[in-house]
Amino acid sequence: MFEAERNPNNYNASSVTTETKDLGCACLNPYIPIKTKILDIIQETTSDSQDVKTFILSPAKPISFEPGQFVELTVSGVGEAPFGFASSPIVEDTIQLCIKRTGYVTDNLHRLRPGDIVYLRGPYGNSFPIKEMEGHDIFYVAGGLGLAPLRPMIELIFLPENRQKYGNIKMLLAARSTKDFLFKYDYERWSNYPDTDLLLTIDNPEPEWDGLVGFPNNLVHDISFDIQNTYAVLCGPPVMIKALSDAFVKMGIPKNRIYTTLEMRMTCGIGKCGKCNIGHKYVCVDGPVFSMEELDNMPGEY
Amino acid sequence: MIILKMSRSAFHDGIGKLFGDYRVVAPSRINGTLDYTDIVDPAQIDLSDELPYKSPKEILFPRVETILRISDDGIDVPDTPKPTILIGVKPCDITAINVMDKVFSKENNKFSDPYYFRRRESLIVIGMGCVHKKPGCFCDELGIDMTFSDYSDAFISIDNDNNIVFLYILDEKYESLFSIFDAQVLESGSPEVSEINSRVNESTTKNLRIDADEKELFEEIPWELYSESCLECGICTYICPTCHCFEFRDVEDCGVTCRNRCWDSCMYPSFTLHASGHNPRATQRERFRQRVLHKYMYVPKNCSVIACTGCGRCIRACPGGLNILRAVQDILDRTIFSKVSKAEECV
Amino acid sequence: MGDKLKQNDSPGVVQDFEEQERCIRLIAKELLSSDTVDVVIGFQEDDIGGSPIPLFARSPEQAEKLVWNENCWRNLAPYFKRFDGKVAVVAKPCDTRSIVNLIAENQLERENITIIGIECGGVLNRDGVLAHGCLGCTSTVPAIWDYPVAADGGKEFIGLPSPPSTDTFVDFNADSSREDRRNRFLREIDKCILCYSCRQACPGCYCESCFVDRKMTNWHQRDVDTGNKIAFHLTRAMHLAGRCVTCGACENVCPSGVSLKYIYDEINRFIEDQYDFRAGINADLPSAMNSFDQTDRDTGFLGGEGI
Repeated sequence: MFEAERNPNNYNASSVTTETKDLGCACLNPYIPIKTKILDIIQETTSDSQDVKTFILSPAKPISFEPGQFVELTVSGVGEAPFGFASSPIVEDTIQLCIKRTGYVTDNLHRLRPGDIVYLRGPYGNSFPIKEMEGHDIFYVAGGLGLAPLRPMIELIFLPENRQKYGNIKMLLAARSTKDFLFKYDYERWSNYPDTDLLLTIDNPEPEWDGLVGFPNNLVHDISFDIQNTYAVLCGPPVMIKALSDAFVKMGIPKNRIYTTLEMRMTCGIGKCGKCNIGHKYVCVDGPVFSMEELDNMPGEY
Repeated sequence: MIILKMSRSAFHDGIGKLFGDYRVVAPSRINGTLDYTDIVDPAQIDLSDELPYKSPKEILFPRVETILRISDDGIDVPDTPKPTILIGVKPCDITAINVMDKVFSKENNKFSDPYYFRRRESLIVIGMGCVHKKPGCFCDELGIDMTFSDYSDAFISIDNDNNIVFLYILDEKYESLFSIFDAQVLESGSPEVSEINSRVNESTTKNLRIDADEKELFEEIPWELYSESCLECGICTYICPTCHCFEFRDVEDCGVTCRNRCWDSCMYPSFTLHASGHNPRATQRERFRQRVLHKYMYVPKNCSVIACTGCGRCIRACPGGLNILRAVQDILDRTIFSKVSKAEECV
Repeated sequence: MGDKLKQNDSPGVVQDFEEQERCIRLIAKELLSSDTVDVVIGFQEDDIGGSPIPLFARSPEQAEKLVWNENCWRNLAPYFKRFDGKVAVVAKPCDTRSIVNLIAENQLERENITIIGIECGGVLNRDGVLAHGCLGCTSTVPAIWDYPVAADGGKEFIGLPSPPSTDTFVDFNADSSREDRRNRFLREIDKCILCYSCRQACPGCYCESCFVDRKMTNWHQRDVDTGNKIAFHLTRAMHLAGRCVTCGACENVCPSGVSLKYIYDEINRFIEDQYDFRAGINADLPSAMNSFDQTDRDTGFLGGEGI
């Protein structure tokens, strides 16, 4: 297992205040963000191919959210982009977002340091139906950055008061290489929860690697689990989700028990700006969490 | 209903009295093009029987609007703009305001858009009917009456022979406002005024709505044929009265970030482009499909109005000669045909 | 409407659109039925009675729909690059200049494009007046062609007179003061809404990724202020210096009526003065801005004094 270099799970929110003026209009202004301080930044990956950091943020007003929802983050003077929450929802005063450096906003975000200010608004979107999953086994499969949006659900279900409501928990976490795993400091704790299996896989063999090798869609066939009683929760690159859901369906998991979360360009987060349409649905409002049954009835515009 | 009868000059004088409290917008001719323009002198107003080139949506949903100012001192929202009176709006554009009201309201998803509604709530709409249909107009096919729309606060009818303006006050709360006009007050039913009312043929209403299986539409309609001559310039979406897609652009100056809401267009490749380089709507085929279905299927599903008013602006302005009506009719023909053939298969 | 085109009266020289249209259809049908080309790009009637719209004819039957008349103002050049395989194009002289330019810049393969070159004395835009690009156009004969369609329908170009010029940019000449020219420029630019339609319609603007769309590095903001408008139009003008073929497509599509022709006419005049070069005339000539010659004059683009 990995050595936990730094465990970011316990942070205290400092007091950041913000003043906002309201509009002279009968409705609330959903576009006003909350001033937020960056408490710490954790470098997650150490590979050259991708640069992923976890930002530990302290919003001036607590943001309460449910697993699967997302938030719009503003980097001052640069722009705004949507990111899924990546921390336990019961911790409201600090929020963690796990972000890969890819575009204009994330590039500038990665240049910020602890103590700098960003702005958050949200939460937006729907969430994983964890109530519906009670009494069942859960099989999480995450590819690369796909682990980030699953982490709130993972943490919530591992809480002592919730854990007993669910059956066996399997986690298959995939990464390109050993250097690309996220939240390595959590793995030991997660695997120590009762009735929990945590499996790690990488794309290509590496020396001194004793875990699995290969893509999750090929590996799930060799993993034994109670097909009749399992909810599969997937997140990762579109290719992986496609192949993996096909594999699960072939194995016999009903489509309404396979859940995933989609990514889209979203400007407003409230179903107005028109970017995240998939058919008549808006990913920012009707999603980002969809069951395979729903996705099957939607055009493949993602 | 109260109807004001006045001479054209009395109408102009009355409008002149509104300038202090209101921003007055009306059709006006600049370099030969009729367009909704900010009026500073009532003589600029041109109420001829012609559809202005651009739509009046900028009044409610400006091309660029600063929605937030973010600085170290906090977050500031720009002041509410002056109330606006929009004069001489054609029924298609009034219908478009109805569409925008629905799209930006809570009915469509759970949030209202405050920047739209703070302008909308103080907007007074004075409509005016069309006499002749213009080339490319197809409001009648969407069940819109080109002579009248009751979604306005007041309506103008002009007797050009005698230079007389009739102002029908549809919303009682504006009766006192319009008392500024030096006019003869008539009641409806009075022999001097012709009755205006909606002459919509109900049977044609909504017959252009596309209602079919989304997945089938995506795959089986030859979208590439309709969009072949598209230049991706986006004029159609800029001059459309109901296109409402937007994006935020942040501009920083001396430590103050202004968040500007700018129009965006589904016809641009960058509209849905992810930071990763992936684009869910990669070619013009998908983008034109989004434009057509958003107007004729998605908004009708979500807000129960067709997001097209048949004003024909996009058809007339398109440099590539794309015709949304032709595309929609072709789609309807094909979907009806496929439904029929499926029914036959069942038999 | 045809009268408007004959303002430069020269007796005996008349453009016979019907005869030209007949020839275009014949050539197109022949090219398609013999499988010489996969598609013929031309004009067809518009259903709603507007000016003719693009037609992509893929069969001899579809070629029957080809039309050619004085209202064919639309610019077909942006479509030439879109098709893989062999295409034939119904090309006005301005379109042929775009083709020359695209061949010179390695954007088109000469052997993949068959040019039906039309002799043209100017066309009318959607308002029924001489199209922007035609004002003062001096080349009524195609720069390059495979199948000539002369003004009388024959194969020998007869040399139509140039359509009338305008003096729209007279106040942008060397005599006016810097301040006047600046104000004239700003007055024009002020109408712009940065929709980039001009760029989309321009046959010379074919960059895969335009500088205004780059977000990393963010060269250009989309908010519509004068600075951004100047930055866009001057940068685009610099990119098109020595490449603009004065087809007028940009001005024809502008939703705000910005007179772009006046900017590009001035630039073209400068390039011609300095380098004795006109874009779109000869594909074998090195372009003005992509080549250096010891004899090039070193006045700089701005003539050493700025705008």
